[in-house]
Amino acid sequence: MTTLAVPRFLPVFKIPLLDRIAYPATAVFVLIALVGPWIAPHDPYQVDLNQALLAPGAGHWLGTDSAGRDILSRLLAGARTTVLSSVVVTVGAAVVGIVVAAVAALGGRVVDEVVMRVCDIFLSIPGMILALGVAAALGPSLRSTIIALVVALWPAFARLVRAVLRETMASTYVESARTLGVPPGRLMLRHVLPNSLDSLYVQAALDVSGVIVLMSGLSFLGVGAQPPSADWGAMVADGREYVTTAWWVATVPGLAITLTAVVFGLFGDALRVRLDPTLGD
Amino acid sequence: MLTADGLTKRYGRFTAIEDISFTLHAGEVLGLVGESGSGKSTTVRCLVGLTKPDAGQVRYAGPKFRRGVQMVFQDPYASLNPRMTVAEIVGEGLLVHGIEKSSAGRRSRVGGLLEQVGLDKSDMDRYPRSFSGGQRQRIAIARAIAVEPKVLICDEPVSALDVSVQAQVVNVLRDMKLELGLSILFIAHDLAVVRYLCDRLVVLDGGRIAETGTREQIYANPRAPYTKSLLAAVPVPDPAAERLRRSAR
Repeated sequence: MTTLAVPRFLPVFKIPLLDRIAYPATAVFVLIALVGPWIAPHDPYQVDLNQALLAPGAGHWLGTDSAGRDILSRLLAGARTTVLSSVVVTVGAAVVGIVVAAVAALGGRVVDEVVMRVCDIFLSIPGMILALGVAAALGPSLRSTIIALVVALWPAFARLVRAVLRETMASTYVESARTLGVPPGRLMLRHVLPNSLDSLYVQAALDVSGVIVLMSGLSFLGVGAQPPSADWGAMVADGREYVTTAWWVATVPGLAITLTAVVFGLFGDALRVRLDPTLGD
Repeated sequence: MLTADGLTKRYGRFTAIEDISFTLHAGEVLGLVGESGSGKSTTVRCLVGLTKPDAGQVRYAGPKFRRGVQMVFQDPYASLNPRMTVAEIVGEGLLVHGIEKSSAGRRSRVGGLLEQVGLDKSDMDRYPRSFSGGQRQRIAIARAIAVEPKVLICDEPVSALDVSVQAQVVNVLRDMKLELGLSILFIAHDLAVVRYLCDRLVVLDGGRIAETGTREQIYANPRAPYTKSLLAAVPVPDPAAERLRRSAR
């Protein structure tokens, strides 16, 4: 249902095992994102051309890049930009989506139709292309990448949330609140939204992994975080020229992107198994 | 108190109800009976404004319809917000109608309401999931009477409950009627309950009114053929009388 082809990881995995892996792994990644810059063994921005393109070894565990910067340190420093801004994008898109969906759900048929057709227009453009266009138009920077991705991703959330809200609006407890005379705003905030958000948490957690890949993609294409800031996508782009001679420069951040996306995907799946009553055990 | 005047509702080519007119008088219990699909629910939904009728109107003799006409739904497992405590559920009407603005005042009112319907004051901080069906229906009744309505519409309020607790909930409703002087519209397909509670009956059949009359008239001398068959289907809790009735048929 989203513009991202969000992979559904391990759909038939048994619950306890999934929980045991997913929650701690997510916690570790979030922790790394928070404290990464302080535990980096070297200065991630220290250029030393004598140390350029060193293979992984004792001094530099994951090697150095073409400017002699320590790749492990840059990974740790970049974790914050990559992981945290992906979370920011997802939360931003979710909030915009919820607000739009709530307006559509309360606004009656005409408002609903207009809002949903606007969503359709956005959804008809591939998310990556839309984000690329918006980010380029705003000028390449981390902030424009975040804005661009929110612009690209909110319609998918709005659709999902609207469908769930409509279902909740038809429930008997919402109807009984209406017959009691509860005004629309309170009806939405107290009765409809609290009983609708479970599926949204799942979608958001799953989307974080897709957003990480998208963000890295935008950086790789040059519209994301700008050099010399350590960003995983930009690091992959830097290492492109050396893939045959110094494989680690592109491969290590590439693996980091993959691993993070997988961990957040697992987290989303674990949440889904826990919260979705149709996936009962 | 509450008048339905020519209510009609169609879904596509299907006519759910057609030209339904009746009046609920002050202080009476009016039974709305009929089998599934006879239009009881559609009539109720039109009456409380959850469905807009295609034709006809609803008139309420009083100010503030939303406060004056309250409803108890059929399924107490679905009608209470699972994420609100009993105090929040029962107190919400007091809050939104500005009847009791302070939260301490609401809590004490809620405590009194809970005791009025036979629950305990200490139940108010629990969530609906920890109550049985009968208790939940009492909570729903407390929520409805909290705003001091004039009219209470009960849509098959006991048909989802165990037989053993049906009588208790019906008695709570009857007590509320006596204590608060409520007018009650009682929707049911169980004619035994209707006979116990209702002063007057409106019988629905196929979306139209088949018969209207006082309880005595209808039970002693049903005119519409549909009412006769409906009454014939009610079991009589007396083997001798039941045998007599069967042989008479």
